[in-house]
Amino acid sequence: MIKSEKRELAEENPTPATGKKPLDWDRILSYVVLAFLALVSFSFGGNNWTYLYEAIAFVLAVAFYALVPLNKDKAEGKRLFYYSIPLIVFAVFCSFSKFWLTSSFSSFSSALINLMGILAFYAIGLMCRHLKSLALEKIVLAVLFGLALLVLISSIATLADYGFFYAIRYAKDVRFYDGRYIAIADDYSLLYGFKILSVSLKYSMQFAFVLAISLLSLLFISPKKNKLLFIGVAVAGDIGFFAMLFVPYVFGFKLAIPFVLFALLLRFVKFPRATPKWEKIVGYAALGLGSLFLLIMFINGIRGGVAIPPSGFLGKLFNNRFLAAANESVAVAFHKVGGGFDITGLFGIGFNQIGEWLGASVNASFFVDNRIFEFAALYEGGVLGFLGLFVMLVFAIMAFRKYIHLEEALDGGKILILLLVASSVLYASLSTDSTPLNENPSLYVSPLARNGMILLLVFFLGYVYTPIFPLAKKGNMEVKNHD
Amino acid sequence: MTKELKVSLLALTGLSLLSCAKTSELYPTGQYESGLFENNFYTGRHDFASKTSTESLTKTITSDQYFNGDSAGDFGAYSNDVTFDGNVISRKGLKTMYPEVLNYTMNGATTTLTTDPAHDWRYVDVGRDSDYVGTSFGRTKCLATTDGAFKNGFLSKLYDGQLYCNGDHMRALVQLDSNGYDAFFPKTMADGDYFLMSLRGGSNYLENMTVTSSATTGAVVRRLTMFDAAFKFYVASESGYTYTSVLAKDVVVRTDSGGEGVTWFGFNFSAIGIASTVGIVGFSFSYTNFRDPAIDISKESADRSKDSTFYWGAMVYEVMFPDSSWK
Repeated sequence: MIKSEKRELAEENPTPATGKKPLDWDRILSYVVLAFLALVSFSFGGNNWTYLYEAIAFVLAVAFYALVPLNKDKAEGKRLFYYSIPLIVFAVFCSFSKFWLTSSFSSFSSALINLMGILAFYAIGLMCRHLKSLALEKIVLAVLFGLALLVLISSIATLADYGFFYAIRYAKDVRFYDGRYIAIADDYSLLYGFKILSVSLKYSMQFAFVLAISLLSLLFISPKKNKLLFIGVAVAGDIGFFAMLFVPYVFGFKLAIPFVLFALLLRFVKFPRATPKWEKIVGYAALGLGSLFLLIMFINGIRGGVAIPPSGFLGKLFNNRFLAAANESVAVAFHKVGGGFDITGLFGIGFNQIGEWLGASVNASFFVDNRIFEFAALYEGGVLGFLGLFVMLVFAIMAFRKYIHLEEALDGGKILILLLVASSVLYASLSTDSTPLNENPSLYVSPLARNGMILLLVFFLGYVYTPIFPLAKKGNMEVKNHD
Repeated sequence: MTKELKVSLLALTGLSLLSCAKTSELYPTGQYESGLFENNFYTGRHDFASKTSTESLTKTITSDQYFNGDSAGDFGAYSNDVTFDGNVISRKGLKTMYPEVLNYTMNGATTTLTTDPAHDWRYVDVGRDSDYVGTSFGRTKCLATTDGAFKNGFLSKLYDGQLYCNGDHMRALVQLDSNGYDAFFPKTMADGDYFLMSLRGGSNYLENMTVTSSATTGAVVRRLTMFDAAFKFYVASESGYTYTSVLAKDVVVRTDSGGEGVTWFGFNFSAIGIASTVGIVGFSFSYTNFRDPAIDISKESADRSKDSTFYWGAMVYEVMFPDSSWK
């Protein structure tokens, strides 16, 4: 008798000897997952506790595997595996890398926990779809309210410190701490761990930004049909919106514009369920251009920056401040000082590794100025970690395209997940901050490893999994929607 | 307007009124860091001016009672004579007078801390205490390490353990005119017997100065400057504050001799007859009897009271009470 049959039988026939109903693991796991997601979203305990969440996630994933009836179809498993390869590569190489294994605050065991944690969050996301008691709405509301509580507490603390619109009122002011100054416009009182700490605006506002963007999903949620979700998103989203407004966080509002346009486009322009040819052509063209760009960037980096003349169009395109961290990461990793090729650069850079770019010395810790989280994969995880992340994001776009079009009408909950993931990724792609603590600026906070937002992202990538590869066997091409 | 809206607005207004936790000591970006020397004086900080305070004890000390180290090769370590205005004045450094101040004991093992500027803690090293505490004298014995409350505010520059310029120029120091400053400490001293200041002289004096529309040129003159340093150590009393005055005669500092040309000045409280330091809640520093071979105090200014061409300032890097405890 297979596991699911046993479970159904048990549900129908309570144990006659005791008269007690057997444990409803579906419901128990649902509650545990919701509480867990809310805690992770709330950043309970801060980054110091992310290890614990990763370890708990691993235990939860094992429990899921043991207790939840899963589809064991081999062909289905194969295409899921293909979809998961980039994520596995990313998780392995961004955990076990030169960067982490040479840093004083990481070890083999912490790398292993990070690897298992990322994979576990992904697996939980995949398996959540099989829980009957766990509706999509509950998951997104748990995440939204975890984030909203964090943002609300932090916003109140900041307003108590500086008042409303302080980034304008004190735009040119600084305060001093331990002999150095902190710009008030970049000072935010964030609940970080069990303390409220002075944290950079860039880092703090990521949570409020994601919440504010979630408001756009209200265009797709009916207040009559799904009152709870509508009110939940409105409340949590408003907390994020007003947290941004009261600063005011101008960059966040500018960054919201493409999301507003995207949401309006989705709402008022009908896209066909099957991906049309023009969309595929645009997608492949963008992918091709992106790959070509990366190829040239890598060649230039391996040559220490001399492959492309620094002046002219190409020089401006490849030697600019946005690409500085990526260029220098490749150069430090592969280009030996004084010439020569270092093959170990495949696994990233050492934590204190130095090198040269355009003949000038690149100091240790150059990467802390990086604002693009994808490039963090380059120096933390090496080329393989970076490619893993890059392909993972491409697969995610394809999967999301299919996921939101599983039904004829666009579902508000699915759009909400899309907005949560997309806003989180875009924000981290433009405004990541790996040394966010204003009063302890030498503390490195990885944009990738042991990072709560990345773990949530990975969870959702699992949760929205929609096959993008054809089945190996003929026959069943059906795509499973939410239970 | 509904009742709920009124309550919300009231709550928000109340919240905005609370906004004072971090705004009590803000400064415009770049203040005290301008290219004009005379604009960089930290003036007007006199916390005790409006308080009732009475003098309880006065001590005048001479160069044999304080350390006044000045040696480019071995900072804080020397014991030598200084020739100033034709007179030879005997000086002693910290290492000669109170070598125990440089000791650090951890888990029963005592080591001597580094006083070399190349290994000194800098303000940019915030957060890297594990690299410095137990190694660098400045970061190990500074007030910020002794008690985290000293890390807040502009004067944290004087409590952070950065004893030298190390290329940080105005970021690392506080430029004081002869009126100096007086300020409360964030904590009250419970125990401590040493006082130390790291400072040098700075000026905008140029020999053979030529001013054109595009530039001011002239030769920087490295020299010694002498003054009497006046300190007050305040203790809370029933009627306000009482203070102990210490006047250190003929303190010598090097002027315009680079950021590493600092002087460590200080003394031992009990050795100069101050029996107790318990209860110290504030401190003031000023200087009088200013003597500089380049700047004529009758014409030029060390107190910014005149419209001078040349100004001189005490460039203070650190105020330290080594091995003290605070509550």
